[in-house]
Amino acid sequence: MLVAPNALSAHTRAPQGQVSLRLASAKGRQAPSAPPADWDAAVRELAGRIAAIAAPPARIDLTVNNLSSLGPDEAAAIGEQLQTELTKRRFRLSGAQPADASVTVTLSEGSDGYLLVAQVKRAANEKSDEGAQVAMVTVSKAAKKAQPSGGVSLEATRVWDQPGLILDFALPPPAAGQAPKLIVLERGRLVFYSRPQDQWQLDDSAIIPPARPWLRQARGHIDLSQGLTQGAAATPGIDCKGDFTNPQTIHCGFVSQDAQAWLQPDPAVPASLDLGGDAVSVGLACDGRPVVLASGKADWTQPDFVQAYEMDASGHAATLVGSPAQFAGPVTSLWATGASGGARAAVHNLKTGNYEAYAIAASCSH
Amino acid sequence: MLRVKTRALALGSLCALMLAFVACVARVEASRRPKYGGTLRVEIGARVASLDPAVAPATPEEAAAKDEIESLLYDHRNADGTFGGGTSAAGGAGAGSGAFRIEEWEPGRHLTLVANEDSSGGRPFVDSVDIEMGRGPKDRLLDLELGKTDFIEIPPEQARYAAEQGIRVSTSQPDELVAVVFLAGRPAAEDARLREALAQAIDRTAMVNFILQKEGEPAGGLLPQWSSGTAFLFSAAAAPAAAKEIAGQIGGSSRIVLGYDASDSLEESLAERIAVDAREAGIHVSPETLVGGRVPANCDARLVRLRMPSPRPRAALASFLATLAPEIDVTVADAPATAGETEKLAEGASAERIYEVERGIVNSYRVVPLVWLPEAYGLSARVRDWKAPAAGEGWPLADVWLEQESQ
Repeated sequence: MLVAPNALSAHTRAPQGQVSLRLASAKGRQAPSAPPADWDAAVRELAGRIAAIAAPPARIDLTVNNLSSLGPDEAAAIGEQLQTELTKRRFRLSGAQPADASVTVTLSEGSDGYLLVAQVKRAANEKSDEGAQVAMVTVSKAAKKAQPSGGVSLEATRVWDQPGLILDFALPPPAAGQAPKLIVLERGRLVFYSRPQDQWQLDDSAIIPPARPWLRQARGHIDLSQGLTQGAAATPGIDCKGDFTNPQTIHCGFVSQDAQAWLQPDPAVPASLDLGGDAVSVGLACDGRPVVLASGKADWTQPDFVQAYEMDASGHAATLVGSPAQFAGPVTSLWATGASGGARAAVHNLKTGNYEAYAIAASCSH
Repeated sequence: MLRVKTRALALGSLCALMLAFVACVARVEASRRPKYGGTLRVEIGARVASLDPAVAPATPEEAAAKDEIESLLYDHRNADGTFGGGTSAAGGAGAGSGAFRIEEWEPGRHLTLVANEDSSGGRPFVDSVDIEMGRGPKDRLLDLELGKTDFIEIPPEQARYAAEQGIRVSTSQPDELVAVVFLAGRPAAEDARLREALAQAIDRTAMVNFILQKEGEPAGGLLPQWSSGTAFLFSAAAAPAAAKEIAGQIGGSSRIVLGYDASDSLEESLAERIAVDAREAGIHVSPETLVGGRVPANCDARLVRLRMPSPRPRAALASFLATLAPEIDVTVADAPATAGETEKLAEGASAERIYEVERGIVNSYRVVPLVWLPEAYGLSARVRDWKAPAAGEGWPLADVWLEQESQ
């Protein structure tokens, strides 16, 4: 079952992480009971619920509070939209005149998503023991848009996410007239998806035999440098090869890890640079300086990032350029795609627990 | 000449030191990827007498420790909370199907687990886990400071002190609720005004500030804000004036016998604080120890600790209701019918429905939330990739690895 990631708990009230990304595609089939996917619908629904309680036309004293991780600008925008919806329903903000009802709307957040909570108390009940009536609408969380950076610009686009571990993934260029394809390497299988319309759909899969012992820190690599018909995918000690347009032809065999070159660091990135966790050369040069992307140095319990560097002529020094692409968890794999400036990263989102696949595009911005 | 040689030697030594430092830093920075090997040393306070699932633990502390150990031994937890997995060695059926299996077991004293090479989640990074039982909080902290252990649980009220002593402390989100539960059928418990007066009298903020040393949160509802998103709708503030007014309306003297776990120092402190706050409102609360979980006939209420089995609000609240149901008489007219409320908490219940159920219970004052507690852990410097478990999760000992000291 392909599902959208669940909304997450907020351990702090700090603004959401600075994930620089643009949603590239639909996330797959959603569960039937998913809440409204955007704030517009949620605000309209809440305004309707308030109207059912406070019975317009009426003067209301409206207060909007933010307890969520939404930034002040976003919270203000939601507040303004709510005012508009209430006005459409013949409510008037009381101002200097006495209000018929007080409405307190709180933007909140729980493990199931955001909440819009309205507490409505009629003025007639102010002196009685009757408390405020409460209405609430749940809103699922959505990714934020990319922020372009200076120097080398990085744009990270989330193309896929799933509950299970992603070792690597590939987005082969679609053949003319054919639907885009996505290949995901998991621990134990290669999974093939296509997107004939708006959503990725499972096409086929190939089983990868388990190695002994299973490594808790699993790694993997998909190699389509020889084309889709001569595709290769590997995990430590296992190589799988075949025609990736026909997964039934894929055969896997045990090999010595010493013979698996992909397990070694990118030879195009001098080891002496020590840029971070994983570092890859992305076949891009800005002003003649080769660009390298590297993940952070923290361990895998911390949010991570991919940062661009420009190597000097000697290749023994690198300068940090531009703003990093931030992620909500550790970057568990980082590979160059072969296209100029292209890379792909698998991320373990520590908030959702899901594993996410990002296509990263680096471009010269100076 | 001698002076020049001495200076050259000093410079050389300094350079060697700097190079060694750089090399050390490079090794640390290069050690981002996990390493396999080593023994993780763990100390706990409880003495787990049996790992047989059919044998009930004697105390809540033993039950919690047994639950953590079982999460290491079994492949998965079933929906009903029991553990499951393939057939394997000691413990219950399926024990050893998880990340670790038992190598040595001295009931109530010592347990050694070794990595399970065939674990479906992958072989743990550490080779073994050595668990010493029956170590008191002070001894555990001292052993951690002296480097004799790698992982301990710290009572939340001692977490701040431990951090100030330089101990590496990790705390979870607050996921354990401490509450007063009025026992159905007891005379004082059947007086709704007395229950409300006590609830209004309790100063939860003072409990968090002075007893918990600010490690925790005042609780007005049955779910924490990070889970439900609606905890702000429940006031946790004390209202001593209102408490006094309500208590004054009750004829005769207002007395409540409040039971607490004799082996739990935190419960003792909270019970004593409740007695102080209640006295201000004119209510006499007598704290009384409970031994072995047995509640004497004269007890009107007791302190309970409820740990969330899941970060999801519906699952957590349903679990709390199931635990409290025997103590909250479902036939009492003014109490929510907990069986019916549980039905309303079916899978997919909306946030509003969950709030309604929670509100109904809190407004009955049969359950009086007090504080939310986090889980606090002490870790040695060599433990890497530690992440405090979320509600319902066990210790992630299969995912941590040990930074080996350089030879």
